[in-house]
Amino acid sequence: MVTAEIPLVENVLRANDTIARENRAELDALGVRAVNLMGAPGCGKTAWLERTLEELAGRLSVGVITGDLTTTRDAERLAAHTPWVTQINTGKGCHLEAHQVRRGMENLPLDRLDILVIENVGNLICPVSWDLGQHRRVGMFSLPEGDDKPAKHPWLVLSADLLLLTKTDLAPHVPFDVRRFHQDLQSIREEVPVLEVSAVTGRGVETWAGWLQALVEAP
Amino acid sequence: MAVVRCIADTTLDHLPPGATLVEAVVEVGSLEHLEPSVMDAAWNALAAEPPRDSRALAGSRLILEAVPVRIHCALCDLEHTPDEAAYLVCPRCGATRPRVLSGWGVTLTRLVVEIPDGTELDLDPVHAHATHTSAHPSSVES
Repeated sequence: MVTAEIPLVENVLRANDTIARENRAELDALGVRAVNLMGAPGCGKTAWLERTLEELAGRLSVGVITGDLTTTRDAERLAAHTPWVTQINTGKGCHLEAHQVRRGMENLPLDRLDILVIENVGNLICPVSWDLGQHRRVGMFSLPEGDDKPAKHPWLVLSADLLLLTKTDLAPHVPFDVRRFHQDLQSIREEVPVLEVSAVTGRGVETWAGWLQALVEAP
Repeated sequence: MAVVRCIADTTLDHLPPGATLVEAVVEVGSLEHLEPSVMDAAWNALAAEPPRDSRALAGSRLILEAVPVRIHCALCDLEHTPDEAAYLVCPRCGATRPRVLSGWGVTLTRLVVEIPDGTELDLDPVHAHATHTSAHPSSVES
């Protein structure tokens, strides 16, 4: 036997990126805008989506692909608000990948949708690295997680088109320095857009709905 | 595990017919937050699986080479390597608009393979500069 060396320069995530581009192209062709929602477990992604679907009822057609390791509980909750929801279970996978979103897209009537929301697996790290074919990335932090999360997870801050600070109705009950939170955000990214919201009180939901509406209407 | 599976798939895509993999060398950006020991364990688990085709990964090693984070400051043009990834403030001018020059990505850069004596590697253009390095795998440097 002889030993040989084969030099390469090969992005190992290229397969994912190729499928992501195909996802985006299909959505573009149908006029659907996709939003990748990324946040920690328990930050309120599903609750915020429920509130969003209530707000957008009769205005925009929204489909949802929701990712979790196991169970269909999120999909069951969201199914009370839209018929166009599909659950992806990733097993031990800590994030969604483009081929999984592709499978989810096949379960939805894309030609009837304005917006496709992809609720990623709860995780602040890995989802940042995986293109799913979305048009916008939205990062979520919640009050109970603590005000230091942007400083600890700057790459989510840098990659997001919009950040949501959720569960603001809990402000009287949890220690959270809003000023420090925003200072840390601005030290990472000077002009980062942040929306403070609450699924319980509905704070911020009109602005958020307007952001989604503008996304749909953008050329 | 997902990234390691991607590495395995890419490796198999480039493994010439008749060759046995000794090492796959991968550059990993520090911002990917991939833990080498976890990746090593995942690679060994994948390599122990039955081969997906006639080319197995069994017995091969995954060699990881870390790519450090490099930041460019748009205001004062300084390029620097931050001490901690969380601190993105320019150490010279204090600006907070970092541009990441390097630190992302997972790139397969080299395969070390064994081929039977006298076998001609049928390489596509990307492999065209493959070179024979040793008559025995034990002398291959990782």
